[in-house]
Amino acid sequence: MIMKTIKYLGLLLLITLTANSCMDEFLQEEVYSDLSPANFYNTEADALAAVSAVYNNFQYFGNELWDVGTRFMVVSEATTDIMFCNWYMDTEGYTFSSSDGDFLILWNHCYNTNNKANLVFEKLPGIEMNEELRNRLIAETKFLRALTYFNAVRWWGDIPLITEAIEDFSGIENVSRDPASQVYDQIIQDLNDAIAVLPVSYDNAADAGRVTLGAAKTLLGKVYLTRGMGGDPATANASDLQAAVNEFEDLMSDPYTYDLAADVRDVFDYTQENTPELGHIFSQQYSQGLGYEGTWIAQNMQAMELEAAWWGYSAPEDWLQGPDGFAHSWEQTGLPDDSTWYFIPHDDRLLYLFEDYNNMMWMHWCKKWQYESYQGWAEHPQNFTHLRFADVLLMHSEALNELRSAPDAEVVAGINRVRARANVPEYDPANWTKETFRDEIQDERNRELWGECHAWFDYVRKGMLVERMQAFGIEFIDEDYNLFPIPQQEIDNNSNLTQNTGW
Amino acid sequence: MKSTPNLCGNVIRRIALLLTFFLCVVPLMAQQTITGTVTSSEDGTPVPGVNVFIKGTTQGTITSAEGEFSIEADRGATLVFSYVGMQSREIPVGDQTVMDVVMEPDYARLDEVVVIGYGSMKKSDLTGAVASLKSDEIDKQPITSMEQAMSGKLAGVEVTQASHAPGGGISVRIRGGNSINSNVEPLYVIDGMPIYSNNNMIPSSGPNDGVIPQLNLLAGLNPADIERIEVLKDASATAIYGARGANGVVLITTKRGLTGRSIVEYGGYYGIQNISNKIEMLDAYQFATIHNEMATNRGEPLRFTGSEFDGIYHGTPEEYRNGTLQSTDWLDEILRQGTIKNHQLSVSGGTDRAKYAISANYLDNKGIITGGGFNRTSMRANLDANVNKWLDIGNSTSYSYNKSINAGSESGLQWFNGGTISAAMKAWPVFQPYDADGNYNVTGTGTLRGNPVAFANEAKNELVNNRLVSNLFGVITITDGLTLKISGGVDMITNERSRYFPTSTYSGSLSNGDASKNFSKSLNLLNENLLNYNKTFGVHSINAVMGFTMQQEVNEGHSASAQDFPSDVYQDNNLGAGAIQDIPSYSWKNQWSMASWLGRINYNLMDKYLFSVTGRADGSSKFGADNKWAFFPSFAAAWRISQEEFMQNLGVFSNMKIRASYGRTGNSEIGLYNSLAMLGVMSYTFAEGYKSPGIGPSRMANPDLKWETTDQADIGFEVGFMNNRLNFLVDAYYKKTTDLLMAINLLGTSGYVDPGFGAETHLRNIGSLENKGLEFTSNYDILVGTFKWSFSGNFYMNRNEILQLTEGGAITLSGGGIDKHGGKVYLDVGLPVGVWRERVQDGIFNDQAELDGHVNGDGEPLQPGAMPGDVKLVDINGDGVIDGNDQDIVGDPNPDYTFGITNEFAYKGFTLNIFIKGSQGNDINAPHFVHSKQISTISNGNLIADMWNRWTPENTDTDVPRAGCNYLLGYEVFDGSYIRIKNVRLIYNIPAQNIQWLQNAQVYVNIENLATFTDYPGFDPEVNSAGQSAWQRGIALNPYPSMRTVLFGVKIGL
Repeated sequence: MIMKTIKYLGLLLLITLTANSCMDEFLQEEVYSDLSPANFYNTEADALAAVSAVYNNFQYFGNELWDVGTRFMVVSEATTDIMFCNWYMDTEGYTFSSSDGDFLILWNHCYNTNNKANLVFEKLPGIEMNEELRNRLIAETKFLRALTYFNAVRWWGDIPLITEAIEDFSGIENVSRDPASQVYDQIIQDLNDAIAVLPVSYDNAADAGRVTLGAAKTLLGKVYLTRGMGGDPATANASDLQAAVNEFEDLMSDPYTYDLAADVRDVFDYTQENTPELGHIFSQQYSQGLGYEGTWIAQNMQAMELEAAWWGYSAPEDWLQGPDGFAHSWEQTGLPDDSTWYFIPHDDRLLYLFEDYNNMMWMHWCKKWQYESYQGWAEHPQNFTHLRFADVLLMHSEALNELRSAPDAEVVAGINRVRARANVPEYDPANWTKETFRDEIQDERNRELWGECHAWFDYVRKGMLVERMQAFGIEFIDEDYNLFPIPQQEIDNNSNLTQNTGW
Repeated sequence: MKSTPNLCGNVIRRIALLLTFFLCVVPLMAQQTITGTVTSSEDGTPVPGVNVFIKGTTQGTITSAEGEFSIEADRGATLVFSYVGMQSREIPVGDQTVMDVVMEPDYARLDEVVVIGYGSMKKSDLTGAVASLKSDEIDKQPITSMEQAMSGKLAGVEVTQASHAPGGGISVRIRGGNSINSNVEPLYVIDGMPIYSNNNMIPSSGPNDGVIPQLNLLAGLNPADIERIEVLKDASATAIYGARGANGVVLITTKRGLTGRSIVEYGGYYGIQNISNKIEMLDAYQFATIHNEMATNRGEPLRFTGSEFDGIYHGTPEEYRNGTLQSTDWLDEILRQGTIKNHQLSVSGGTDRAKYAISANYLDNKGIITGGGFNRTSMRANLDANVNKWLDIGNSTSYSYNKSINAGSESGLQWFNGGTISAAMKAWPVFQPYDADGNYNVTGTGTLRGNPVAFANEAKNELVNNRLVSNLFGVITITDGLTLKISGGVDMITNERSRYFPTSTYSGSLSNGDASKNFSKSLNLLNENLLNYNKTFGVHSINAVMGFTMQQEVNEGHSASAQDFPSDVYQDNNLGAGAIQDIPSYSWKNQWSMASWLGRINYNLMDKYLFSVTGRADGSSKFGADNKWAFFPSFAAAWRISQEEFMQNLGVFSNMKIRASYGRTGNSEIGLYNSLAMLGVMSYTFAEGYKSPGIGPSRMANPDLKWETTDQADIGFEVGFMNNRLNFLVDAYYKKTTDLLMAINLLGTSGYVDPGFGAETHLRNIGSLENKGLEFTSNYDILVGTFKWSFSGNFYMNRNEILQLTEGGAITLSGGGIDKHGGKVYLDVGLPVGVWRERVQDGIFNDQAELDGHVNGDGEPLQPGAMPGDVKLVDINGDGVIDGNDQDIVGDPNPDYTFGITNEFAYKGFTLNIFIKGSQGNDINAPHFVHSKQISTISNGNLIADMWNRWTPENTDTDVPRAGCNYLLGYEVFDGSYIRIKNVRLIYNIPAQNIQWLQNAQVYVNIENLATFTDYPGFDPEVNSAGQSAWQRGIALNPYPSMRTVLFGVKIGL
């Protein structure tokens, strides 16, 4: 009897053990309504979608819903003497601190983008797909990671350099800062990897906004220029100036077709986007009518009449209207009282900068971001321009000016193309010294690139932030301001993170 | 697999052989026939149905209707006489052939068999804390859902009605809440089938913003089918349910057929229902007066001046007073006398080989708000068959169809989207429900926009719920004492919500008809394989169970909606007819599965020393990859002191037992897919007009995610006197829950912080909390004999405290959820879960002198601009400024203690049963009163009548602030203590002995909610609008008023 019982128990055990071998499968969590790494990264379409998700992060730049773009603008341009802005942190009084949400959001955005990119590098090699396409997608993503880190390393200096996808908690809680030089090495490595693979252009119209070879070279040139100008002593490398010039000069000849649009307004015409001949190199893409694929940043950039309204506004600082700004090429007419200035503009860029240039004081309607009228939530189609040819020309002049003992015809060639297009007098190199022209190039950049998030980077690159902001009235500013504070919340939650000096 | 039946056959043959052997051997011994009569010591009458058997064997017989028995037994053997409600007797067989036995009643029914997890045992053998309710107690209340039966009846069990709406949700806490973020409802097991009880699966009604699921998923189970309910409270009892045992387990056993007793029973009742406590609101005269006063105080234009305002004529207060203009009591307009009717028909019976119990039920409860209601049609068939010597099979199957018609209570604060109660309390009494043509006033001014009458009468919001619960089992007897039970069960639920707001309602008028359909379904499958072993060796008795179970649940649903219909005729039946189709349509599906090993050994030594060891290993798909399996052990011991000779010699105690247990259980309700990495859709356009799908990571994996763990220790003491006529039971427990699921802020460098939303959180097991409490239960049959009086009472107190939260410390839970449900909950170490932290009021400024005295250290006024009659706020932190930092705990929803008392008087055929319950020391947070108790703006709508006693320069002796007060609090918290005569029933049992065809018959009258004693100004202090939420308790959000029900019923057994 007992033997039989044991036999029976044994049989039961056998059945259950057999069942047990299927147990892992039984206890596997099946996902149906959601996507998870378990049911994704299998096909070519998955690979394309994974890369699109990285691009998607840059869409945040112009979407009010997430507001990253406005904060990008606040941190990178409103922190200078050329843009007034009453959005978020106090850039006018320069009293921002590590607790300001602007820095946290940009920090989070940087690492969120970075992680998506790292996941692409990890997952794409395992997908069965067209080899050429795989390599190109990885190259595009390398550019996007480089662009992300390039912004971050300029804002914060030493930052955690994370090059592997994070899939769970293990190992993320104790990340620490890596030297900025290492970050630059990674950026240059990524861009060179991308340059080896990327095409000059795409045949398919639907791919027009993807990263091109020209975009990677432009960014690489800018990276070299940044180190070459030596604004950050920790990463200064004067020999990079020539490397920058080489990249910029490549872009001015075959196979590239970059040129300046004859009419400056065409650069910001959404129906002619992604046209190298108009100077487009790389832009964040926006579309209308596709459901939250447009930008909202326009709303924040065109708000003069809405000064008292709920969304605040951004505008050129008053001095830009004066003789040191656009007005240096204006004729002052009418009644020059304190409240109303009338100008005859000589600078065509005012045509696209301001809605009503005759009354700049009261009409700071930035037309770079304006498309007709309100299009609904995140439905404005204008692209956000990251890289364009005028920038390349100006950087070329900037680098060359440093390499020569004094400005010459080659130095002024680039900047004069930009000025000629704006219908303002060209520079005669004889009138300038290396030092004065360095300053003048920056003023020209401010006029050409106002509202495109360049000024703070430019000032720091050239080591002129302190000087310019002190002259602007921010007297307490010192060299510590060449880096922004690491977001306080990150430091609070990670004892390995140190703060930048002075913050 | 072919070997199995062979093996079985072998075993059977062996058993048969063994039986033959016994049959052959037995006659060789000195056997004699013993006959006798069993009588009761109480009244000397014979007791039929007594089990008479030879100790240590299964041989036995049952006494006849005359109490007589006859049995063959050896000399030296011991006969055991047992009968439920009598104390067992053991009598040795000597030379006698006649044995007349007198049995003493056992009022505590220690011989009663109590259902426990995966088995049953004698009540006297229990080592854990198990509370029982039997059908005769359940039947004495007109309950519509089975959890209501436990309300106030069992110590340690707190049952709160989330909504008093017919079929409304109920939440149950056993020994306090063990969690903050997870489900804290107990596990319900019906006839062995663990079932789904999370009301969240019920589709919400879409734009009816903030509506908490109103239908109770368990309302589909007909309470009249229930034979008994066991509540497993301590870890010794619940550890066998492992990762689902932490919140306690409710075992429901339905009625089954009995051998030799066939009966056809009908039970029915009909009742009328009226609101038990109406909130009085201001009439039109008072409303106009107060609002003019407010406007005057604020320097705003007067509205009620006998001229047009906002394009509509507004009378003077006098015109409303003298009746020139009408006043509307909007609550009266939406309330009605409700009805409830219930029919129950059941047939049961059986032979030795087959037993059956089949029932059908129809319940229709209209409720007291126009347009609402609940009805249920259910049926059940429980069958048992003895197939052959080694096989028994059976099933428990029930099906129910429930329809709940939403009356619009428990709605959010957006009254115009359909909260009938909300709208009725806000609508201005100066307006009328109908215009001169008899049409609804829909687009009137002010808060009449949400005409509650139009909504109650015209809006459709129905939920149809179908539920099938079926469990089939076979029991194979392997050898003497060893059985294998294999069962398979299914629990299938479908929910379908149909909603239509016609153009006669406000929101319907905006959208030109607004319709939606929501569907969800749940399929739950179970397989259980249990080996049971029962054996007695002399003074040792072992009862063991070992098993393996698997369960899987699949949930899915979809939803679609449309607006702008050419006609109201379509309602929700033709969404395609709506011109606007792009309102969210979605579908979803999820699944979880669980596999478990379980085992328990109960060891009984000499009926005095009882030991129990339990263990369960649960593997769950919900757990993270690195924590797939959890193990939950428990240990318990009990000492039946009253069985000791020295105690029996005392002759005082008929029962005394002390028991102690310790064990660990889990809460696996940690949400689905929370441990998995997730991807989200992030599309991008690579050129103007070309949209390309993008998919990227949205959440990182948490392979360590696991159950919440509860360790519990329990000590129980029970004592009985006078044949257990008087019993006391005390239990003390301590529970500590660790690994609480808490949301942690993620580092940005993780890469998973969405750049837009800033702080991204991640679930991790880090918090802990404790519950400790005392339970007292007493039963006393005060009078026995012709006039009977029995008393039973319970008293229960629980203390809950948070021991650890996130690293960050205190958390204020607010945001989306809280806005809807109201009440700002504050969590901090050292506090109980659910308390509210707000600014603190210290009365009102009665005069200028008080105002002048309310200054800080520098002599500056603490409340600049305040006037006499304004709310006086307290500078809690003493910094000389009153601002958002001056907050303190203003209320705690957890009661100090709760109790329930039942007295039953019986004389001849009459029985009077009175049930009183109460709760003391709990607070209620009533967000809807913020609007109706604070005179701040006319758009908040009408005010409760108490506001008439507002402060004015002439009326300073009041605690109601002046109209248009400058300082107001954003909350209303009240003492929610109450004592309630919950139910009174007078039963007359018609003498049926002399009527051949009648087995029993009774008629009764029942009054529910006869009287309530409370200071709470709302409809009912038994309120909990947030339903099953673990951290939101005691919140009253436009609740359905409770009802006083008077009903008449009959029961007939043929």
